[in-house]
Amino acid sequence: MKQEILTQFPWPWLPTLALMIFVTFFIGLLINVSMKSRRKFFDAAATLPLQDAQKYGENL
Amino acid sequence: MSTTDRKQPMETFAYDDDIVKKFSLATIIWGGVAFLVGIIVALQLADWHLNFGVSWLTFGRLRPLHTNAAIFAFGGNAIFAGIYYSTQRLCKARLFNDMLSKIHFWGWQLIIVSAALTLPFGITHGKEYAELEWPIDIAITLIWVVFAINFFGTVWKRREKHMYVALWFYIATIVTVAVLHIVNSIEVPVTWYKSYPVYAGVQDALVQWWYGHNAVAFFLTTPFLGLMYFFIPKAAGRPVYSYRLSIVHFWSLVFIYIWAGPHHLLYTALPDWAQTLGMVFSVMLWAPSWGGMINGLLTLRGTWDKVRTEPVLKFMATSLTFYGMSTFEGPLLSIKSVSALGHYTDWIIAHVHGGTLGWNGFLTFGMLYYLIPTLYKTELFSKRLANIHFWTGTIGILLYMISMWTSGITQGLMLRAIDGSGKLVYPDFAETVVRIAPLYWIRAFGGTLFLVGFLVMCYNLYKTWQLAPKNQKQDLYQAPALSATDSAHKDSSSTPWHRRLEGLMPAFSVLVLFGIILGSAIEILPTLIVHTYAPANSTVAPYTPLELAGRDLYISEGCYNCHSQMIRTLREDVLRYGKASMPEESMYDHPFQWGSKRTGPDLAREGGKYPDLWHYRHMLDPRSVTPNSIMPTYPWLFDDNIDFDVLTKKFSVMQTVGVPYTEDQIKNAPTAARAQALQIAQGLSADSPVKGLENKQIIAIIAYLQRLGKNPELLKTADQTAPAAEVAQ
Repeated sequence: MKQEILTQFPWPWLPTLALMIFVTFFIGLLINVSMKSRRKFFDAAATLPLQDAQKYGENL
Repeated sequence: MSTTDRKQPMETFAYDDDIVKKFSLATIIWGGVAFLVGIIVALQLADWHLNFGVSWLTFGRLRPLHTNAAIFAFGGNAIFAGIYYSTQRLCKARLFNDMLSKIHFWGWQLIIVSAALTLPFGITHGKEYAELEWPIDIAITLIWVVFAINFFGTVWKRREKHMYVALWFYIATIVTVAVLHIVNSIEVPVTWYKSYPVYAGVQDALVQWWYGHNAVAFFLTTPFLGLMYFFIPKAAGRPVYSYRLSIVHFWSLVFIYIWAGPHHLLYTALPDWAQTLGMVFSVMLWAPSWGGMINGLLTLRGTWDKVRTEPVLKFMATSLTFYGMSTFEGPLLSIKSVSALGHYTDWIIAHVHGGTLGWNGFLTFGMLYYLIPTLYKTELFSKRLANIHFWTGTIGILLYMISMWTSGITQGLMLRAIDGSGKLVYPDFAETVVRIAPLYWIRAFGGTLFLVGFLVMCYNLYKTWQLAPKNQKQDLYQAPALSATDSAHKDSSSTPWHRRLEGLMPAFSVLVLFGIILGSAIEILPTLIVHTYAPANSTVAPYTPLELAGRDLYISEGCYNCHSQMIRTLREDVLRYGKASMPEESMYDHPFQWGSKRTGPDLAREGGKYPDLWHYRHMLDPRSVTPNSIMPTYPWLFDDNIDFDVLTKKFSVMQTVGVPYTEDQIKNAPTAARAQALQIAQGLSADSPVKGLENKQIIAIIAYLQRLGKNPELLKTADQTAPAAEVAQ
């Protein structure tokens, strides 16, 4: 039964296609984030939780 | 560019922290309930007397209450508290709508109360972690939509252009949980408190474990990772270790997690390729999971002295260690040969409790130790008490996990032990239970320690609340508006594409949705369309009306919590239980009953194994036929009557979901059920002094149990084609 299902599944290309999309995206992402020029953006973004909004009445 | 650098007009606003306080309080209350029920069910496994012979106190009915309370009540309220607190700060904006916040809070509590009022009374789907019946399912959907509108509305009106990594994890949570819940909960109602899922057998198993696995991923992992990315930097006063790593962590986790569901179904009747796919992607999960853990732990570099003294960091750092441990163990258990040993045993229980108690529990405690003093503008009442909580909880978790590891591996090895002549060394399942039963006491003790630590925290937080200054005024904040010139689509062409994406909430959400739908489609599509390319086997007969009534009682009593109905293709399973289960055998099972844990033996081929009288005695007093059994007694099944009249409606709904009942069968269902019940009752009367049982629920249960695995034509065909049973290496 299992083999029958396997052999008769009409879209065998589907898992391969999905895997290729995933791998391509992943490699693209790795290259993108590894570029040195991205550093200042990442450093700024990393501090966001530490940047509290100014309290009203303080330092105005 | 940070918000404060911008030359836009300043806007004044206040955060809605009332809702955060409410969700925090609900987290504490429901946490207590979840842990207490957990200890009760742990004790019931150690000593069956503690089921008290009372229907609504029995293990099978309380266990789903425990899991739902832990995941959706404790975990759910915790993530809502944390998400609402951190999202407002990260967006520098008040929550989108106060009324939606209130509807979200009270609606969610109402859902939890509904669960508490239905599950102990046997009103359940019988699908793990999705047990709640259809009216509650609809309520969950509506409240989740309210949550989504409130969250996305807040992000939409934010005053900070950049969406920080925590928000991505929240987006993934909201989008994916909505998809999972809706797809898995498609069902046709029979009455207000009974429905049948549209999926059956293999289909249902795949959809259910796609849901179950990803509920862990997107309800217990991604939101907590988001909280970790916010609260650890906040408490440590340091930025996250590597923002690059967080980007890779997020996308690889979202893409990979969704594929891994079939690892819950290894060696079952699920197609081999789907099992292998699930296993491979589970192993791949090691990388992003550990990437996230390392990113969190290294954020603490330079502040390790604080981890020793600050309760918030202490709990959070330990929670990350448990996260690392659980996410190492999960992929390990997904390797087929390891799964062959660990699946259906207490090893899995150890694994999930390492995750929920250690990762979710401790992260939540760390968050509460941060939130309560911050929200009430005071200091924590006692760091010493927090330390006591920490050590009591940690020792409790370790006792729990070590006892269950030992129990699981011991039982797994005993169940697979085969002697030189090819026979099982321990053919009696109860023999293995006797060996591990003492460990259930240690588990219960570990759980009790965890609860004691939790109660110490409750006292500590209560005293902290008492220290809060009276008549506090709401703080007002200021931030520049996010104008059109700031919006992400105005970014220059040199801005990195991911940076631009982080400013585009709709595009980001759509990409997440694409990622999870892609993985989901690959996982469940071949099974959903199986009827279009593999003809159904007509030799399998649907259940008779009485068998269906018995099946519904079996589900209602939560028998699936302890008994599987899936003989794996493993040699030890085949030797113990008979021929490996075939997909066709559960083709009319709405829902499937393959189970996930064997506290008792598998029942897939239970039919005909023992006479009716054996089952009668077994349900009345399991020890009378199996001396070492730890199964509860079910005296109410001998008093309560079968609802024959509802069977017409049940058959009609079954026909709607694809079971080939004829109109005559539907019309005559109650009559046919009564006739079969009378036959069984007369048989029992002939063998014993038992009289007048023909209307009692025990008769329906016996009819169902005697039907399991009885498909003579199918088994005959399988004899000619079945491959040899596998031996896991």
